[in-house]
Amino acid sequence: MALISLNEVHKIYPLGKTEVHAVKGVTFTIEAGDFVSIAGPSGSGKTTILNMIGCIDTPTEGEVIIRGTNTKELKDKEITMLRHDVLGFIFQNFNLIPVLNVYENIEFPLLLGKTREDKNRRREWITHLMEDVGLIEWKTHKPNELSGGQRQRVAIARALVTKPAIVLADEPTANLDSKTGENIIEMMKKMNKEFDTTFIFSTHDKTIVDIADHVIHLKDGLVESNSRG
Amino acid sequence: MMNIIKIAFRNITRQKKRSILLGSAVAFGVLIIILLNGFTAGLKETMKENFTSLMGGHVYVNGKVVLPSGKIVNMIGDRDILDKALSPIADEIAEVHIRAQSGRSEIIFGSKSTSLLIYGVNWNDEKLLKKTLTVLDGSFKALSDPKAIVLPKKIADKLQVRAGDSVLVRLDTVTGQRNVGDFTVGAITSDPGSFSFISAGYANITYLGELLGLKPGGYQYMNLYLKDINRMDVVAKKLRDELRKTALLEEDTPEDTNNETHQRSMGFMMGGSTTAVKPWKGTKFSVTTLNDVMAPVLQMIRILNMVSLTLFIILLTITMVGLLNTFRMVLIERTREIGTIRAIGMQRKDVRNIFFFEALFLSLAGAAAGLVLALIGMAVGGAVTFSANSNMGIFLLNRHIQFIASVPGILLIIVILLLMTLVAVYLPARRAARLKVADALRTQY
Repeated sequence: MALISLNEVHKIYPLGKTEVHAVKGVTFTIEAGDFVSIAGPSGSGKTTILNMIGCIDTPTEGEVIIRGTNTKELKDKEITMLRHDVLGFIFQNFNLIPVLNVYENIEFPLLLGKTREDKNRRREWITHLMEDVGLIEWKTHKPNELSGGQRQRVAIARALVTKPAIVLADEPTANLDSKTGENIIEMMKKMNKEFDTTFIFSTHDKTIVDIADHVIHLKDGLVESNSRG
Repeated sequence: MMNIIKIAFRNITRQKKRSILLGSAVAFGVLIIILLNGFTAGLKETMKENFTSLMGGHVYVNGKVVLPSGKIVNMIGDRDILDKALSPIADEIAEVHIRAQSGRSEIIFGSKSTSLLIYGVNWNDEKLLKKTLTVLDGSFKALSDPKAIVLPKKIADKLQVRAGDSVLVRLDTVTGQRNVGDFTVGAITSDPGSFSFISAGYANITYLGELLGLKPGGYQYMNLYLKDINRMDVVAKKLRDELRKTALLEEDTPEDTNNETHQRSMGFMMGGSTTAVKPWKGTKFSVTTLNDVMAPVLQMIRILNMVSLTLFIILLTITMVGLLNTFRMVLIERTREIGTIRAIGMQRKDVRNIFFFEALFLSLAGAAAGLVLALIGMAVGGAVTFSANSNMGIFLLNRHIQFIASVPGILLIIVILLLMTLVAVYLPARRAARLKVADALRTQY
């Protein structure tokens, strides 16, 4: 069974008195452990599809099935739990919590769960993640004291801290210079291998698309191509 | 939950100026209300204490007797009836003071004269009275002279007398005859204030009683100090019930004479006689309490409390509108952040709780600052020593304004403030919790 299935998914946004048909019947599957790139130009529906996979938006029509669960049937509380337990997020603008330092930002999702790990084990795990992303020396710094690349590395560690099955990254390199962007994608690839986590990222940067082993090309809200490397 | 509390607490420091301004508004409201409440509570207690000392007790018993001529005189004739009526409430009584009262008498010094109410007191018993009166000239030691009189400063100034001078007093006896006595000014005391019946002279009860034509050992008033001041109305009722068994009560037959309680509280009661509409036999007793006497003052304090409550409501409303607007702004500023924390797994109720805790911390910090400032204000205000000549004498305790910080009162203010805070923040908190995650994340603030 596929980890993620999208069946004839449509998304229509109201825009004033008109409507925008952002996704026009998309169908594809993603397997566990994939390193997936959703590529396409601006307005092709990349973010909308990522949002629907991430359960932060709902399809107007069609189904999004994650680990066999149709997300349409879940209540807000269950969807929130699903996001917490199964999904990790990396945002284009990093979206770190400004009042928390690096360590606390990474720790934050762990404190939202129903079950709480032993404090020492939690600390060990967060330290391990900080070492992996090269931020151990910055652990007490607040986000505004970090560079863009460092912030995105904090976001990667935060996305992985709950050991999710899927990490979604919406244009994770868009706000970074090309060298830093490549480093971030390399890091994500390394984490994909190390933790066997499925990574799905959207991008319109062709050099980054090539690193993925499963590329879904979108155009005007439709799948243009779906290829595995 | 600790995580939410930590974020809420740290959020306060994000917009320091805004938090300080809002906290200051809360602090100001709390400061004003606690200060005003402290003042009125202190005022009530001060006046109770002063009135108790000056009036000589908490429960006052007086009597009226009808003479064969039909005239009514103020005196307690049937003392055995009163003594019997007191026995069931003996456990409640701390001290018993007896007094005589001259009514408006003419006091003469040289070519000057003025009128004055004179109380006959037993100086050995009335220690609290001595404590309340502030001596400006002379001393209480002079009161060992049975003809010594204590005059308020206003009267002494009018007559231009000093301690040691001799004065003449022209008064009416209980039967309405004119009589004259000579007194020596033992002490001149500060005026307790603008309450005319308190601005009185004090003399030895034996000598004054003699001048009033009372029998040796006779008196007109019996004032009871109770062990528990809060029991005064209960004790007064018990005493009335006991007296009713064997004697007449003024309260039961007010139509026989004029209502004396009102006259007494206003300071107009005369020692002389009036004619009975319907004569009666024996002593007709009347039992009043400090509460009856203080009724106008309590009314004034009630008005003050209403003013402070209105002020509190106005200040609270202004602050709450400020709080509501601030958190509406906070909601706009943090929309994307709310989207982020919801995306990574925070439940709606936790988002709402962050808003609630943040507002509560802000209000609590403001309330704590307001409380500290109010306590400092009370300490400073209470430390100011007023002149012994001050016209505010009745409002002062040992020449100081008394402030009373009531812990339940302060807790009530804080609880109301916190509840109102939750009400004010409820709408923005609910909106924050209900934000659509995708929409929130798209926001560009």
